[in-house]
Amino acid sequence: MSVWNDLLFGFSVALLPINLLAAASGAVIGTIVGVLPGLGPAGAIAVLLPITFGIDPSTALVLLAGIYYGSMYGGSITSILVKVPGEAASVVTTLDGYQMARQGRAGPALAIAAIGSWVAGTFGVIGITFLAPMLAKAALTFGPPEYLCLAALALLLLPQVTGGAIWKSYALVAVGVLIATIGQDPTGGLIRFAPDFIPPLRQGIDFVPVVMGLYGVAEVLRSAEEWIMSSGRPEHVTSTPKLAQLWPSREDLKRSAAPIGRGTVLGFLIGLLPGPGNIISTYISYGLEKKLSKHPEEFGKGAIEGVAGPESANNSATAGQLIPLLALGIPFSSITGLLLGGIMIHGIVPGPRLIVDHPHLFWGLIASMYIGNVMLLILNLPMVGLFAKLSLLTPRLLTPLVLLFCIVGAFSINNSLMDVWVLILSGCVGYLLQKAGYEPAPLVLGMIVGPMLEASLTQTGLIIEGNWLQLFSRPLTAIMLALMIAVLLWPIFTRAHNRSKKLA
Amino acid sequence: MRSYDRLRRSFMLGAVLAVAAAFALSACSNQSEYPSKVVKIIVPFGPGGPSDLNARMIAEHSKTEFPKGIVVTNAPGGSATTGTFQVVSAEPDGYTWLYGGTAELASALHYIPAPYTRDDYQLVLKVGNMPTVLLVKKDPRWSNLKEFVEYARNNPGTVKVGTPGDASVNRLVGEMFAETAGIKLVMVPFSGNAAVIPGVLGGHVQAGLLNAPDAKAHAKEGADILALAVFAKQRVAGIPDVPTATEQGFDVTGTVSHYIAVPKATPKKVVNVIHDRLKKVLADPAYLKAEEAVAFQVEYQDAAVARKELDRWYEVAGNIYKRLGMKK
Repeated sequence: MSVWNDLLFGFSVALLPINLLAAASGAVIGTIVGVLPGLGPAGAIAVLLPITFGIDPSTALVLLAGIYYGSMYGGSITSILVKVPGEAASVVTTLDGYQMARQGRAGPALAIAAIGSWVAGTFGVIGITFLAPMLAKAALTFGPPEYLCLAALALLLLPQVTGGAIWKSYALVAVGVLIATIGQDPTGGLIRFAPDFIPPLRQGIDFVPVVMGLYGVAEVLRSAEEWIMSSGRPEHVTSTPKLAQLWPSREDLKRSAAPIGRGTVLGFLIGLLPGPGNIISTYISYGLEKKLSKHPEEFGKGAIEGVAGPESANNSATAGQLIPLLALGIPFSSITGLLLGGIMIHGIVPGPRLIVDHPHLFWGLIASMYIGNVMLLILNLPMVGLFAKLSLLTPRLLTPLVLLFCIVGAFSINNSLMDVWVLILSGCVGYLLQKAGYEPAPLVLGMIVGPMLEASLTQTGLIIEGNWLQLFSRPLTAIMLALMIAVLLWPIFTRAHNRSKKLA
Repeated sequence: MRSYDRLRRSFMLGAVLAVAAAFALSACSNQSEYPSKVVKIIVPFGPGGPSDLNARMIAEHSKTEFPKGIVVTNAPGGSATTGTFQVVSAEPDGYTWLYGGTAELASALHYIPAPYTRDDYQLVLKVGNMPTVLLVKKDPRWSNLKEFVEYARNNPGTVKVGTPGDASVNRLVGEMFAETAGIKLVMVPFSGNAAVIPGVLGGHVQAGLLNAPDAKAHAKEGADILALAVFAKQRVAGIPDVPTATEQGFDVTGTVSHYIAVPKATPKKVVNVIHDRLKKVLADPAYLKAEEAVAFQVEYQDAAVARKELDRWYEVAGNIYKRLGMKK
């Protein structure tokens, strides 16, 4: 069994004191990056990249990768406690995680997020260990036509799952896609919808401040309203919960087990594909759990499955995203692109020969990820108690802090004041949407999938030479088109079915 | 009362004089002591790309020349016009630099409406080149550039070539090559260099127009990618096995070049300090070695020579965009 020998060799590299230190630093920095909204793993890795120029490449990679997967642990913490997703990959976690915190169940939510992350992170590494080269090849069959269909399918299917009326969800998806068209055209480079009197619009609207506004600032406004309505008497403010329990009960664990398992597999497979897989996988996982649940009515009101599934998915997706990088040397996302840069500086080129030419780098990284995930679990579980107590702070203390973090975070993304305005505006919009009974998650989805849809539409048109019927002759696109038709026809079918039942 | 007034007035006068003197002094010392604070390099692209990486390498190797430090800041979007505009409208004190490329400084201005012109920035020096390369998936139908051209000639309109975007220099080089070779290539724009490679490997496009560092990264022994040609006068040091297009009978050269630029009104004295110190960095063996590892071709040019080169690209690009009907 040569894999075991290789893995053992990997551990001999990863257990060197310097690499252990790198893994631990990566885990800690990653957690902090995850907690702070606005500062994402891409920014943190870019800042730290020059520091790694002077150290051994395997140590550098262990550190940088640690920041990446560590941030997926941290992102859930603020989602659950204050409804500000630390990362875009934790937007979905706010749906049920925050509700759990308001019911005094912040502890179980945080613990399940950490446990799910650990299971998924470890499984993801196992996946890399055994399947990397094979899966990487399979991912390449996805070309622009496949992405076009995938993006369309995602926009059609996913809004149905985040709750609220279907037509409201679709309306928000459409708005999200339209917002994403502001600024640079992803392939042509032309600039759209940026009038001369608002020059900052040229850079487009980043989805991170929108996410922070729709969730964080909107929640600040909501609690401010609650406070004003109770005419300033804090005893009337209902939002300070009591800690019902700190650790997940046996029932919680039982309910979370299957979602963690499904989220893990799902996230890993989606992570293999180019694009923001760690974000998209959380939406799909949430939808899947809601569909499979025996009590879908609890979703959005504090169902632990809604935390367990997505939080697992984003971690295994992170591992999945490393496969194309390590096995083919192709970065499918901006973060893996940074990791590629970090390795290349040392004259090492990832690719099919990486495993043969630089085994200490490849197996060292993999072994360090097993270790890093355990470190993150050890780091995060004891903090559950501390963080859970934060949810008990009175809103009067917490909300100004949240607002401050959101503003600083929004500014730090591109060092642009425009992002702060976007944040504030999205906050107001998010507040109004809440009042009108809209769940904003589909809007974020539209903004993330929009550019992918637009780029692949342009490319597909050129590649298939304008012959759109070709989409039916490619196996993968044909399957996805069939699924889309099924999704569209399903409501009509069920309605007819119900009617015939009634008649009979 | 009056004496008190006079006292107060003279006191005020003294204070004003003292403050003025302090300002004058500090202004003097600032002038002579540039750089006295942290320099900011604005990269008009997101983190992870070649511009970002190179800017960070320069910052890393400039620690002795700029002891207060250099921070690299990403200002992506708007086809690199956002970050460039941030620099041209920044305080012209020498503490804000642009790490700019051929497209946003010259060639793309024919096509992208930008809020600045070529007169709004002052070049400090040229850093180097990333010559365009033509990459293909390994295929018995074309093992060299001649065979590739032959295939394209016999199958007109079916050869698709991925580019990093319609505004990229790579696309212009591709159009120049197609014209010289007398073939028709369908240019498929992707969103950036990294996105092109999976398209080539998956066979969704037949070739990709990328940069020398991409060839270094992907066209390796044992890999499925082959670099057919580099569009440079001579072979590039980091990728010595890749033949030039000229060698293979097609006299086409083209490169993305990188420059350091500052706001137009930056004092000449300060610009000279930046120029002299960066020139030293560009000759530092450690820096050169690091850049060769990623196949970035370091090439120093002073501002006047660099300006001429950019002017020539602007003219070439104008003609191509006009021919393609893409000129704004």
